[in-house]
Amino acid sequence: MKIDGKIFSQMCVSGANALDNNQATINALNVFPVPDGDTGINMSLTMSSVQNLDDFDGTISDCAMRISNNILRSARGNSGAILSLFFRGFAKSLKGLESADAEDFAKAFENGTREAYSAVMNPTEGTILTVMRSCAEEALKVVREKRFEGDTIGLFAYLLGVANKALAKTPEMLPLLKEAGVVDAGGSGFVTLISGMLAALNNNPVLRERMDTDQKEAADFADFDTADIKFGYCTECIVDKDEQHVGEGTGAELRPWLAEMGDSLVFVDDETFIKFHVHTNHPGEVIEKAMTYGPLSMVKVENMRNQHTSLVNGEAPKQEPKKNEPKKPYGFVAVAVGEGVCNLFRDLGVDYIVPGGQTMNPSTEDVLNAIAAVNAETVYILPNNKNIFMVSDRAAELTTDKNVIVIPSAHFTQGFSAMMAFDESAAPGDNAEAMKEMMSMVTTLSLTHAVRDAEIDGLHIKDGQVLGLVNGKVKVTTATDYEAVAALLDLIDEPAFLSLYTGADANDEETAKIEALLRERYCDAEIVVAKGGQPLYDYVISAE
Amino acid sequence: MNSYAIVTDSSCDLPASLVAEYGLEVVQLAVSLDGGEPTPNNELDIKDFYAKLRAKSRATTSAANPDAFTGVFEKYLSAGTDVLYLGFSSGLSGTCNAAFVAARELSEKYPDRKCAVVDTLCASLGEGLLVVLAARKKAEGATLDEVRDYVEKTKPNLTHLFTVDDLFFLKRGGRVSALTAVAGSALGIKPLLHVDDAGHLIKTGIKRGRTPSIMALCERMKELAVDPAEQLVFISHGDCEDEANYLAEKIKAEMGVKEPILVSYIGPVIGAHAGPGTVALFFIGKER
Repeated sequence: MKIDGKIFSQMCVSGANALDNNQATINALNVFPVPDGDTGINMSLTMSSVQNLDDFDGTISDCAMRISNNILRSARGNSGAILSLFFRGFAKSLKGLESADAEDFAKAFENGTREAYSAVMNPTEGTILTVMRSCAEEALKVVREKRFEGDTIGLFAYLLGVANKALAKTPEMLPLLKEAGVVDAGGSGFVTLISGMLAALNNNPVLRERMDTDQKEAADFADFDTADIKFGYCTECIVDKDEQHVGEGTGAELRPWLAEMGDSLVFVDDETFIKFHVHTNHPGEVIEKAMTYGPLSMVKVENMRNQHTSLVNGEAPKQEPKKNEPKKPYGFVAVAVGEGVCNLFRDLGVDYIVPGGQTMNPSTEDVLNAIAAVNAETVYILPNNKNIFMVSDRAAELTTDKNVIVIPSAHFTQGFSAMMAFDESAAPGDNAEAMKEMMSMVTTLSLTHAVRDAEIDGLHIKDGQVLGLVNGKVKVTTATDYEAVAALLDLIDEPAFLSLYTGADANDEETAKIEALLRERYCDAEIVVAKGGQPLYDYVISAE
Repeated sequence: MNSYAIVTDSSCDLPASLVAEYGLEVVQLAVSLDGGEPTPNNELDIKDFYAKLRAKSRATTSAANPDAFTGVFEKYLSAGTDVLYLGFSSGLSGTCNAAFVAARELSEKYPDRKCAVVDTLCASLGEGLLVVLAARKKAEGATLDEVRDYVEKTKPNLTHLFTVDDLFFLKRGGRVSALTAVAGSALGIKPLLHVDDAGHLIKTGIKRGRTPSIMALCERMKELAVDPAEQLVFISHGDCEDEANYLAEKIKAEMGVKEPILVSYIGPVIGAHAGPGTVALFFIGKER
């Protein structure tokens, strides 16, 4: 059987659904017991952009190209970025074909894998790359042996087996995985994707189990014609049910009321919260009504006619560059989370903050939008997290009207230092060098809580304990934040500058104790205590 | 004939002892606190003024009115004495322009007298240093024209280097551009600034931490100063005398400056904009 665009789109949608359904399982394949980047969510959101291909009818060449273009922008996290490149290579290989047979797919796998490898600076084996490569190698081999001639289903079934075997071997290649007793999360996502694609070939496509308003909305927006809009404001709320409304079904009366107010209603009535999305001409009334069920934990109103974000809780309104205004020479985009951290970046001259961080990776599109909003000749991007490097690089590549330079800051501490090295009178490249050099002097100490029992590098970690990390690696485990700081300080060189950033859940008493410890221990250092407000990490210390 | 007076304004921050020693006339500029009545610079208690600034009182200044100068200039001109006015940078204030307007009007009334106005493009004790150097020339017997030429020739080399504890005051007063004002005060970043050839405040760099920022002034002076050992060096401060003295000791030790270094308060006019914690260093350099 040859596969045309229609079938291929069904395969990809099915694969995306499989990823979505298995998000939690993939997330759980977390090497470290720290709250970390969620590979399952990232891969699922990356693939979710194929949703709007439903009912595609055309050549496989066109279909693959559309998928590639969509995914390039929706890519999140490093696994997502690798996946997007895989599909780009895949699409290039299928270019010009009406439909594809087993041999075409084998070549596409090979090309996709090559493209994915090419974008990773230091390809690591034991990751999604290994699983991809195994599939590509085996596919070429069996095609050369003419084993699946005309049998694309057979080929995919075979490749699923290959992918599973390769995945099972990842712990042998990466000691970190072995120690944590897990297989690679990205690789597992790839296996899930292939299995979903195969299911569609077998006429049993995977259906999405979860209703997800965000993704639906993204798909909706792609095809909007503003003239057709009857209800102008896309309104989303999450209501934390108050005492008298706790329990399932208590919001039953809200649903028909909302349906009367507009269209495109999505409504979830849970034990403790109500979440809904409606297109209406009276967002104010909708919000007021929602508040009768309890306090709002999230409100979002967008004017769909001009696609401006008019109000997002806590976030800066979208800044559109003013036309005709001359470009300034330099601008900055930083990915950050936490009110204090965002304010410090703004104070240092960052023009646009992309909300995101360790557990919330922005997509390539998010970064692209940020770059577009900064009216400057040269835009520096501070990803402030390793998992955001690749989407930043992609966004830089996709921008043609500006010089975009990614400063690979692995943490906001490095981002701050990089900003301090910036000199507006220097050339773009010299600045980039100076910023990179300055941030390389930073040692980042961070404190968080273990999310499960684990054993790493001989450390016995119990769920809930304080974990002390040096540059992202778990080094100590203690009962209190103070003890963790004291233990971490033994591991670092005497610093000249120390900055203590308090997290969203830091308490003043502990902060005072830690500050006193720093001042007593390093009386010659310049010490600063600043409110970071970062989630999950009670304290972050930058030592330089 | 050596009958002329050197007039300056209170943004020069010269202490009363030096004003008396050199026989200077100082036009008092006014400052108002929290929108109150403008008070002449010399009538404000300086310690109290800075305490109020720290408590976030808002101090505002306005450029002197030509009338303020007309009175002072005329006092000399009518007595047959010429006037050499050395004024506050036009890059920061309209004061010098007001003096210029006053002088032009008076030139019609006193066609035989000279009333020269020099825009020093200086501020604080930078202006003060230039005034003292001019007064010394005068004491050596130089004529008004000779002193004016000397001031014009010297002002491009009158280096102002300063650091502030918090850019808030300069930002609020609109004395630095928005771009220059960018700095993470919350992260302990201290800007280094100077006054450029056009008399504007320009950020030249940043230092992390207070002590490094003050040390940086000394380091920069080593690069710029011409024959520092023989120089007259002035330091003004926004109610942080200890740090200013520390800088003076460093400079003396590192560059062997022979004459005593003047350490004095930044008065309310400049203080309103620079804020508490400003340390400013003035000397003759290869360039500003």
